[in-house]
Amino acid sequence: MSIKIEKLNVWFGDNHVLNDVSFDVPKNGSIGLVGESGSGKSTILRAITGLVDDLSGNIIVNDKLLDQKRDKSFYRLVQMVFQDPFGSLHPRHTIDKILSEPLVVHKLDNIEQRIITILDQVGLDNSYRFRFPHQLSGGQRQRVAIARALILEPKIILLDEPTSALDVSIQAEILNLLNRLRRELGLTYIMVSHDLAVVAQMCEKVVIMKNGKILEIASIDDLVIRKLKTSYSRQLFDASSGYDAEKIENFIG
Amino acid sequence: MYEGKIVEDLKASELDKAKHAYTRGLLDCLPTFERRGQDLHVLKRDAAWKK
Repeated sequence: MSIKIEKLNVWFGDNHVLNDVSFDVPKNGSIGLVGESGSGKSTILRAITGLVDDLSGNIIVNDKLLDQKRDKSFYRLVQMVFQDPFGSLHPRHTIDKILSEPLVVHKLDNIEQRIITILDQVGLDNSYRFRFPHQLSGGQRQRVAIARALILEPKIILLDEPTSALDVSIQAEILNLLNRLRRELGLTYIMVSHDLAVVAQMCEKVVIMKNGKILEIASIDDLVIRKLKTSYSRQLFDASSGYDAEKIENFIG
Repeated sequence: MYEGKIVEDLKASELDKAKHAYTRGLLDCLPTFERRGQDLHVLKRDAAWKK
C-alpha cells in the first residue's frame, strides 16, 4: 500500500516543528528519515498515527485522504514499532496477552492460531507465549513488538529507530527479519534512524531533515556515493563515516 | 566482554585490528554501504568463547 504526505505542518504550542513536509512511498517501498535529534523525524510518524493534535496538510494512504481523526480501520492498515522495547511492552502482561489485545480490540477471531503463527513469523517459538517481557532479552522483546504490529496484518509499518536500543549482533538479526517480512508480506516501511548504514540496508530512498524541514530526498544509490545536494547532508554523511576531529571542527551549525 | 569475561582488550583507535572471533563477529554484523541489501551476518556464538 502506498502512502503520501503533502505539506504536513505540525505545531507544539507556538513551536512550528514540521514545516511543509512532503514525500511519498510506493507500495512495498521503504523510505528512511534521517536528521539530528529534534529535526522532526519521529514527529512525522506520530502525525501519521494520529498522535499529534495541531497539524495541517494531507496524509494519503492507498489514494485515500485520511480524516483528521483516525478511525479503527486505519490501525488495521498502519502500525508502528517503537524505539524502546523495554518501554513499549506492558510489564505485567504476558506475551500472549500483549498479542491478543489488538485482536480483541479489532474483534478478530482465531486468536490462538494468529498468535502462534505470528510468533513463528518473528522467530519466537511457542514457549515464549506465557512469559512476561522482563523474562526476555532486548532482541526478543523487539521481536514481540514487531509481532504485535504485524498481528493485525497491516500493510504499512512505521519504524521509529527499531534497533537503536539493541547491540549490533541483535540489530543484524532484527534488520534481517524486517527485510524478510517486507519481502514476504509486501509491506511498506517508513523508518526513522540515526544511522545512514542502517537506512542504506533497509530503504530505497532517504529523506534528510533539519529543523522540521526536508533538506533533500536522495536515492540510496546517490547517498552511498555521497552525491548529495546540500552541504548539511554531506556533513551528516561525513559524521557517520567515523570520527574525524578535523572534519567536526569545520561543521556548520 | 563476553559472558562476564574479558575476551580481548585493545586501543579503541585500533578496533579494526581486533583478533578475537567474538569481536570480529560483532564488527561483521554492522551494516555497510558496500554490502547493502544483502542479509547481514549474524553472530554465531562459539562455546569456546566462554573459556
